Amino acid sequence: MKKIEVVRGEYYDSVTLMLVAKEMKKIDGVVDAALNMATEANIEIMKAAGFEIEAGSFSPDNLLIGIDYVKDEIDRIFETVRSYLASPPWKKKEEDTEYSPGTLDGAISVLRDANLALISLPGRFAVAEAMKALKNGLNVMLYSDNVTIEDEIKIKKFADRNDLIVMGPDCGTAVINGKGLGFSNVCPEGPVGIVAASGTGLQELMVQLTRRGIGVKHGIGTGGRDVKRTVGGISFLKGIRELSDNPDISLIIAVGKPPDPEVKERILDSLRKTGKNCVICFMGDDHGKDEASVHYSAELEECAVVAEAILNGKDVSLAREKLRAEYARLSGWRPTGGVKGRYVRGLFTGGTLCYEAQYIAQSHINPIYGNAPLRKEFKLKNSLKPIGHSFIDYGEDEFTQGRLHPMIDPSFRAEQLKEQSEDNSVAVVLFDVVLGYGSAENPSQEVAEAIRAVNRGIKPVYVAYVCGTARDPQDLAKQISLLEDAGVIVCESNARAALLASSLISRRER
Amino acid sequence: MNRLNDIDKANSIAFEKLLKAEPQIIDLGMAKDAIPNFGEKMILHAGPPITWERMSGPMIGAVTGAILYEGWAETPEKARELASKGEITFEPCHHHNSVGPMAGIISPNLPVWVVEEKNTGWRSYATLNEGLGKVLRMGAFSEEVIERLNWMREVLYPVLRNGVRKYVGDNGGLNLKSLISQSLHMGDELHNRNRAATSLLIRTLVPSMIDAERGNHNLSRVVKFMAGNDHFFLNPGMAAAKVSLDSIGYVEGSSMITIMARNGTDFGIQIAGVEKEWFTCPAALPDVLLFPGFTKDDVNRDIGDSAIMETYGVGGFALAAAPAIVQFVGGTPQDAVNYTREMYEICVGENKHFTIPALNFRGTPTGIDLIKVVETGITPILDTGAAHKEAGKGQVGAGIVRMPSEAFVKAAEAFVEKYSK
Amino acid sequence: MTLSFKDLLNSGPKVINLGMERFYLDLLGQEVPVVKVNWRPPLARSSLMDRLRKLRGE
Repeated sequence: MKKIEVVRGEYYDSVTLMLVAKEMKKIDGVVDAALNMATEANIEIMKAAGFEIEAGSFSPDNLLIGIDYVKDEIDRIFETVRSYLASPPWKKKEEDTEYSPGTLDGAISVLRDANLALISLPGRFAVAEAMKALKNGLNVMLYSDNVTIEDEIKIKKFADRNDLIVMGPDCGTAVINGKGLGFSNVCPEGPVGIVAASGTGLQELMVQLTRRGIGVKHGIGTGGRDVKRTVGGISFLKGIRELSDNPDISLIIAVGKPPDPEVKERILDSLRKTGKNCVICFMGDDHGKDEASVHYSAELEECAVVAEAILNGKDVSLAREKLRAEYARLSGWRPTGGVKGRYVRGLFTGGTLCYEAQYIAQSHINPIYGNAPLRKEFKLKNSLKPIGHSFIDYGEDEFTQGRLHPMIDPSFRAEQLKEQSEDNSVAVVLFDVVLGYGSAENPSQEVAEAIRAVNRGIKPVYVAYVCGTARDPQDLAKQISLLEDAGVIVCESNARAALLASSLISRRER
Repeated sequence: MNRLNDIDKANSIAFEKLLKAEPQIIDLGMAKDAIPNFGEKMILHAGPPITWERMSGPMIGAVTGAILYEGWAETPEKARELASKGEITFEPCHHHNSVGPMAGIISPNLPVWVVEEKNTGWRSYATLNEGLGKVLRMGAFSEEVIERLNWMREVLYPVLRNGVRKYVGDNGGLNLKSLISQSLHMGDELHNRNRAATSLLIRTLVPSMIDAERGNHNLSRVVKFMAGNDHFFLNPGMAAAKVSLDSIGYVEGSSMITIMARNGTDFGIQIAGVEKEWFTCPAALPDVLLFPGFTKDDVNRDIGDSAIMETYGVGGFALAAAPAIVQFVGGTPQDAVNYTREMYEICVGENKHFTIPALNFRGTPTGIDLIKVVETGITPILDTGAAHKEAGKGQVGAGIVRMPSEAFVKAAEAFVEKYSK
Repeated sequence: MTLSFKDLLNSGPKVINLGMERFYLDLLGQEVPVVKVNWRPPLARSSLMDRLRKLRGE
């Protein structure tokens, strides 16, 4: 059906009328819409389009609204037309349309004093953009993975020659001058500078320092491969040199999985030369003997404890002993209901947290299988079908192809957690929840729901660690209570959670 | 010729040549006399080369109209028969230093503007703009279309020609570059809005027309016709762009684009560093603002040589200069500014002659760099009119359209192939 | 204009973000100067891009 409405004495320009017509045609039930000022020519056009118009009674400041409709809601449709004319739906607010450049060059022309490119593009494009950034005098933080080692060496050498740094590839966390980049927690600024070949390692360290009231000024990420022999620690060593020169830094921490031996030697040398107090935490590495200014630690929390003691002028050995005593008490704890089943399953979103947990748990349970096991022979054939004690990193490449990282989208890990909880042989489920910038808005919620949905007579014991600070956007207290309400034992560090989870089993087996 | 510097150097040579070009109107003439190598029963069309069989509706309609206008056939049916028998020679305007908006038809007895580049003496040609509505360039061929073309040849053309000759005799060629740069400061972007440029053109020519045609009772009708058509300047504007880009010629190693054109079926480009080779792909389907009564299904593939305006650094590239038409591009002046800013990212440089008040008189993005296009994934945007896909139905809307990527990729392949040796 | 790593540490990050929007938003929230690149993949497949780069001596 076709109907005409006349609005007298209102003039609209033809573009506005066309736009309103375009909007009207999007409405269900509207076949055609024609809006025209009633000039002779336009009246002819409307007639040609099949609208019945009596000639002679219009002036050009009359608006003709013609609607061809199939639903009997014509009054509502005309109302919509008038509302669109009064307040055009396509008129966006200025701030919505701020220009986003399409290229790095374009962005530099907008932010002329830019000094860092944060790149999280697919790996095959990331290297080209990183190189462009370096040539434009920008430092680079490269979150992308799937970058070849040759490319990594090429861009790092280029950066080094030009007094720049490449953090990454596969570097998700950094703090520069107190500002968090990528996945990072909200920490106070302070006298500590960190160089880290590990993302969640850096996060956990900063969280543990924050809980001890110690602030971090710079946390420089390098990507895990930087400390391999082939790359030679280019970015790691550069980070140490800069922190050494920086007058605001009084304590330097080096953290990561163990470097290749020759790289480790160079790092140690470099740290010794800084003349500043240093703490090393190459997780699971042979514990070196403390030197005059260089101290060793094997776990992230221990590293924070040692740093705290140094900065506060306390006895480092005493601080370590105190921590061990706390650990010993923790490993004596038992749940009231007892433990049913035989195995511990660790389900992690943070790669380094998974690594550290295995390192700590291995003294209580053996062997520990996984997709990133400490020893190759314990690698699971199928990461979706864990056996025995298994610790799985859901942030590994195999899970992030075509799927968001579990720190961003916790749903897949939550599904897996439910499934493994229903395995009768599983006694303890250990997991991490990582908060901070970059992470999901409410990560504990989905885990808690998954736990409630577990279909098993007696559920396993849940042990978790929430890696976050009180100032993180997710609200640490809320995230913890979401878990506790679901019956989860929430520990104060990743190390403690791993220790508790594994000691529950080992004691039972004894 | 295998370093970044060499490509950059070649592009800046091409760019400087473009900026140096001084297009001027020097005369009007009949197509068959003015345009070199204009064959008998030849029809020039917009875009890259195309055969009758592959022509889209509006192109077929415009060709039909031209055959009727030339008197080569009596009826539309016979006109089509003639064309289908291969008795008409079809060639792109661009192969004859010419350009035409939409279907871009130039037949032997259509009057054309003659524009000359002052430094090189290169010339270009474009027809007189017919106005809006049922017009040949939109594929219409009804009686009123042919009648208007006859009137334009018999009345408009001699008056205008005599006026132009008088003007040129007194002042030398009519400087189009300065006219374009002024109109950019008056709200035109020189593709979908030519109101200021048309006014400036009339203001410039009318005294000479009066001098030359004093007493001619057609004078007022001619001026009224020009004044009643906001797009009257588009055609000489396109000729200015064409001759300026032609003046670049072949530049060894340059990846700068010298032609973008559409024929309603294909989109084609040429670049300065690969001489006279078309790189084509199917033309875009414009998603434009439609006139009342039309739907998306009515829209023909993108058509016209008017993309020469963007190739020249105005049109869609200068949208930020034309806030009055921003509703075509999303609604706010910021949207228009954003389109212009995006185009900077694929251009060789900024135009020192054409500046945009809203961008603090920054030069328009000029000289599209093919390599930047394929690297960034940003293809040029154009202001455009859209024709009905059926012959004879005319214009259905206007808006902006983004050029399809395949032609750029093909050109990049040829460029790499040529210079990797 | 070359800004060294030292400059980055001393004056704090001024960031161009290519990729995940979340990183950009988090930086905005910390009042870090940041520009988001509306990045698109190149039109040309990677072998052509490689040859183009080679042609430019990269």
